[in-house]
Amino acid sequence: MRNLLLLIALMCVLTQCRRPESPQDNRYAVTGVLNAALPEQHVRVQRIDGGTAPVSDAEVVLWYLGENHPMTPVAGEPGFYSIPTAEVPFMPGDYVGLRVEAGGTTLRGEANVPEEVILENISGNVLVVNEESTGAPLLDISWEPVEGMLYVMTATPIGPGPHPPIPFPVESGNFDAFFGLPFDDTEQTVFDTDFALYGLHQITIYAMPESYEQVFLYPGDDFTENLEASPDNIENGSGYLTGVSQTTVTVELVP
Amino acid sequence: MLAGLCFAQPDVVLKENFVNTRLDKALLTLRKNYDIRLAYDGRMLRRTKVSVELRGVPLESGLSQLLEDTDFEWKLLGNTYAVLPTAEQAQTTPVDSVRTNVRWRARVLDRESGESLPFATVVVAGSTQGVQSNEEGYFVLGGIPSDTATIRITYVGYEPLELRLAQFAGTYPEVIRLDHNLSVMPLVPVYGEQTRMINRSATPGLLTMQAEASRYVPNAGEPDVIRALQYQPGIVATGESSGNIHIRGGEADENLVVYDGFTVYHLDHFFGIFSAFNPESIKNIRVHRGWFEPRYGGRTAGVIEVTGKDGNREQTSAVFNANLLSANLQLQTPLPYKASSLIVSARRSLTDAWNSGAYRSLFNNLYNASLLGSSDEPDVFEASDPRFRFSDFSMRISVEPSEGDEVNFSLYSGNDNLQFGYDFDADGDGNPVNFNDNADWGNLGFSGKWSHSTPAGDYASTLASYSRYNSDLFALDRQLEFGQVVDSAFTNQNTLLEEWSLKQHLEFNFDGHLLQTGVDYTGQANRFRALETGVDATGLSERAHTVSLYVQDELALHPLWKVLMGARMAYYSGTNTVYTEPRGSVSFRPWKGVTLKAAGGRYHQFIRRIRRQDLAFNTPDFWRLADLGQVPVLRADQFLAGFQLEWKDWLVDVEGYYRQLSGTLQDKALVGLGNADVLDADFLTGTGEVLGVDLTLERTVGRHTGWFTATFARNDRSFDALDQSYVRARYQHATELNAVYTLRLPRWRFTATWIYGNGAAYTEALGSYEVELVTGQTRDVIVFGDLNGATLPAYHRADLALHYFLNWGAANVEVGVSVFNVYNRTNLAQRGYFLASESGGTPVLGVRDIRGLGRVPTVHLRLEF
Repeated sequence: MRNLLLLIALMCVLTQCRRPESPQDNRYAVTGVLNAALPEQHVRVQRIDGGTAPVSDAEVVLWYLGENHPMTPVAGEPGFYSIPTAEVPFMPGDYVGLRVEAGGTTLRGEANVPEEVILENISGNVLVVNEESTGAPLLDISWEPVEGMLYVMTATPIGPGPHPPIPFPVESGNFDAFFGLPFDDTEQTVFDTDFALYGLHQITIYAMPESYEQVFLYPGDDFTENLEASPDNIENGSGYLTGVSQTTVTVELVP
Repeated sequence: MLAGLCFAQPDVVLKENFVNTRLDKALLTLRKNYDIRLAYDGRMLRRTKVSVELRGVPLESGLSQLLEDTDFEWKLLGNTYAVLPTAEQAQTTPVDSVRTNVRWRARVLDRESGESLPFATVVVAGSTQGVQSNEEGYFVLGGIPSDTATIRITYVGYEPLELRLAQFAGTYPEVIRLDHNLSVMPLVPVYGEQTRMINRSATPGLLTMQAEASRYVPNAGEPDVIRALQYQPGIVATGESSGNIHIRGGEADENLVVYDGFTVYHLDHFFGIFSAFNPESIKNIRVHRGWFEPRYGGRTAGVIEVTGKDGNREQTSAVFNANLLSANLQLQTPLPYKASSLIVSARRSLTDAWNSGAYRSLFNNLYNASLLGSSDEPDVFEASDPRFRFSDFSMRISVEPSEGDEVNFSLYSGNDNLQFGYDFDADGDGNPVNFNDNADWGNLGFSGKWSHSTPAGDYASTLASYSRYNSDLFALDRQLEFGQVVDSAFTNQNTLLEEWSLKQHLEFNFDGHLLQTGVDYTGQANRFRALETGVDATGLSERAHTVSLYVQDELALHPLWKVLMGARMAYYSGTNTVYTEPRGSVSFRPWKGVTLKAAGGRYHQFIRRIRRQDLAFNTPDFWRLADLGQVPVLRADQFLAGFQLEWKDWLVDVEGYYRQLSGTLQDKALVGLGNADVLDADFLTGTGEVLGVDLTLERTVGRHTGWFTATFARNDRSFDALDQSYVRARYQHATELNAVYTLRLPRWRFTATWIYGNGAAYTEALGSYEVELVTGQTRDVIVFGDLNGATLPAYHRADLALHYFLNWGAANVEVGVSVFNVYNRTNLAQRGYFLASESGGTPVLGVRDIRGLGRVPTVHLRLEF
């Protein structure tokens, strides 16, 4: 009986003992979007427990083409690090590694730069928009699909202007709402009400890995029940590193 | 006993003249003429004749005079006057023969109503030899060393009965009638020795509770049989939900809940605050914690077996009760055909007609617990008029067409409905969106059962049953402009889970064996359909069949040893596989009052509840059948060992257990890792381990009963896709303590309970950061620590209940007051986070603590005619 009681006491103790918890030494976040089409790459380092406090004394190194390429802090933008890639560019399809030393912690990330986006068709570059055309298809655009990729499109007014507002009787400027979240269809139709301004616009089509979609879908400031689904692909820390590729076309909206 | 004598001051005066009258007839006369609760064995008394004139003497004096020159004496057992052989006579009672190795078959019935008492315990005093009566109250106790041995028959809520078969002169009784000890006698309000509310069987893991006892347990508005169970060790009590009962580390869906033979899939009303079972219509509940016999299958953590009342076979009776939330009416009556009875119970909430303070408090708590996006806790009744109601109905017909045969038909239907509408003006332009939700959900189940018990003690039953859980949601959102609807969108979701089964069960008694075998067929169909504006209809439809065969033998190897061995084999069509489940148990009584017990077995589960009903997102329970793809079959191997010690007034029960799980399933969305759309749900699969010790310390002395229970448990899951060594179960406290005390006075009953849990697991937010999108926008991201890696503050609360009994004409009246969470402890049920932006745009991490129920006082009135 005494042995039985001892066994029970031992079991009680065992139930209260925990296996060692995995360490939660997670104090830094690293984010970056690597785009082979740009002449300079940026990476951002923050502390997560300090209200996005920037970390400006980190050692940040990109690895590609078989070599380490240190990044340097960007003047006037605390927490940002950059490296010019115009002279030693990485190319679509390249693998890029990232190592960040901050506060005695080594964070690592990696990304593959997607294949280039190759435009197949665009229905026109000069787009006539007037009140009579409200709600009408304006532009058809398509590109070659790449397996495993998602896409977003942006439209940015460019040039010296002018960019007068288009006097639609209904709400316009819906481009971001329709094309700002990742999609997989490589044939898209843009409607006139997607624009809000006349003038020159640059339409950029970005290709990105499917996993990057979770960053877009993260609720941000808006409440959602899915708060714990924080996007993360950084080892020994938090954050997200991804590669993207892009192509651009220029259109002009005229009355 | 002393307490009973002290308070037994009946003012009944006897005036009778018996001349050479058989003693059993004289007692029958007293019983009928004075409505006295008397217990005696007529067969034993019929040989004795009495001649006595009672000239207006008090009851107890009259009984003494009546028995003066006989070999019998009276004793007050509880509130019953029992006529028993005197000690001398009992020892020298001439018997026709002293028999050895006796086998006794009988049936246990309620003395007043004639209802059978299922799962009564019948034991040979001083040995492990014992059996439980079956669903119809029949038992066969074999291998009794001698008919002079003392047999003890106990049933929760009833006076225990001890007898020696030798008293019956060779013709052993075929019916044993027990006296209820909870109800109020109209004319003789005496209260005696307290009996236990819970029968803690020496069978590993088994508890039996009389449903009536749950009336006296403090509650949150409604008497609740499931909440009353949660004061037992190994059953999580800190969750405050009757719809999610966690047994020995299992998820709520790992329990098989059976009501008169059909499965109940949705256990609660009012989003989990109350159990769906009406305590008035239930006779008792058996709970198998962890280990259970081969005759039960399909679940891995426990079995909750709910047996409905048969109905009064002696006289018509009615019960009406009401509280701040609902009203309930029950009728019981004998039927003219042979020994048959009918019982009908109906309960309906008053909440859609009367917003009592208790209802508003409960609804606000539910609603605010569902808000995660801010720290505000609005009074929902100020902005809208939620209309909520629940109801349930049960009916049972019991017929005994011939000796040994019994036919039962049982029906249960429970339903909840919520209509919730409100306007929300996000931009403050006076043109709100009008949201309207109409949700309706509930269970329907019925069964028909025929059973036959032979004089030799063999038993057969055939059961056919049907069960259905359905939920329908229609949500309509309308954009208003200047009071006119300019746009609208709707969502329509329908869930239907059906189960039908046919079960054949056989029992054979021979040479100390109780051999049970049977075959079960169960079919299940699960359908979900979603339709919303502008989206094609989506849905899920799945169907599976299970055929099971089981054999088990309970063998009394020796008066001190009892062994159960058996196995269950189940073919499940969803995976086209046969699953074998060996199970066994052993109990040994090395010393008087001490029983050692051990058990082990394998269990499989083929249906899983993926998500449970949620008020905030207006989602129903969502079930899936196991398959060869996403939803694995859950397997549990479990072992337990412990002992039970009965010493004087004390009972100590200790069980240690270990459960190893494979095929554990976690919906990613519930831990914030996946898609909120149930049809596109992703799952984490893996393994699990539960190690625990359940301890009970109980003492019953006269009018006082108290128990203290402790559960120490470690409950971890491990998921293949997670880079985390283990994940604690969110509902499990490493230490959980319960204390219950009841005091019974002649017209009063007082119950106090206290619950403590040392903190549930939650996922802590470590901080936040900002991430840039390729489009130039940014997102603020919360960084969470390990899944369920942090611990909430300790949970504790005390509840009180006080009941007063009185007689009003022919009615027994009960008035009760219950206070849930007496000291208004703010317990945290969960902790959530949200991001808010300060005026400068800097993200701020907000914390949302989801609180448990605060203080909830309620009253109730019960009339029994």
